[in-house]
Amino acid sequence: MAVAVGLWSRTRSASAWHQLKKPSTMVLDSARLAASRASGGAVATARSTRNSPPMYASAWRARSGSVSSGDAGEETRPDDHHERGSRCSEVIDITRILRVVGRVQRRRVPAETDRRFHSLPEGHGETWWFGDANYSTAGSAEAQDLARIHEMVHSFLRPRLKYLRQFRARLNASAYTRSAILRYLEEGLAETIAQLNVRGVSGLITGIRFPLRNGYMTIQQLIREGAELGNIMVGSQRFSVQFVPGPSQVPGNQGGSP
Amino acid sequence: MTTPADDIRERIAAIAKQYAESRGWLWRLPIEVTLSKSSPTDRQWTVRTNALAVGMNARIVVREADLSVVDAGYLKR
Repeated sequence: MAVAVGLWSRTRSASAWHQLKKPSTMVLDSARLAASRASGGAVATARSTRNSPPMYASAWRARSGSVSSGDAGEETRPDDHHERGSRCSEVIDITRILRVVGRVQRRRVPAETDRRFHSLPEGHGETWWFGDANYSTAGSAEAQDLARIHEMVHSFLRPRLKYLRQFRARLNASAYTRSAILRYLEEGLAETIAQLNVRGVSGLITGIRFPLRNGYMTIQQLIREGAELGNIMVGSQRFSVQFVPGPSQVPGNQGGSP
Repeated sequence: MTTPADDIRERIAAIAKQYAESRGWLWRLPIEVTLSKSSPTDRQWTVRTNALAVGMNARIVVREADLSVVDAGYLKR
């Protein structure tokens, strides 16, 4: 469908878009179109709603970077979360849209990968080690905002610049996996920022308790790690390195004092 | 060729998956199975799901002797 539209519009003038009879996806502003004809360009006012077709939504997704959202049977573009409940209109160069659509067509996402984004329960989200985030748009607006802001904080903490990116991502993953304190700090920070944004000061305690609430980590783990010098991973085994007080090993000195 | 350690890991993963599904937690691959506690009398394995991402991680600790779940938690985002 997207290819057909793309080829069709390349071979005809921009005014033919008006006859496409798709008011829910794209509405041309005649005054702006007349002005563009005079200047020789092809400019259209595209009005996108939440019922945008997959072609248009995927073009937006391709333009909008690495953060994607998904829920059951609804295509949205990330900006909708900022402008929920109101229509938005922007001036978009048609040739730019066609370039983006063509790029999406060449790099078609396999169906299996794409389906994964449509199965997240309410309030769920994840961020990969390189900063790509995915969150659920199921449920209430508040739940969506909590998940979105939480994942944004995680994404902000992941390496983005290309220099030594692989190394920094692995270092980040290693620190998060090995250290309960760092894990608590990152999760607590992300949830506290999300709660403060969405619920105000009343959500502060919820944010601080978030990592401990569902038993993902325990207070005992945090305390124990405070006594650790570090830990060593060998294969699938983790060794905790600690100071263990004991009697002196000096021969002839059984009292424990040096 | 499977070693006894691989075999116990698979059994631990199966127990953990069963537990996660019974609690309604998402079971996302890949998983990471780590020997988190080892003593002459007790060995405990920790299973962490969705190991390549932060969020939607289940952490399930399974005792090797009787394959019982000692501790478990879930981070939904």
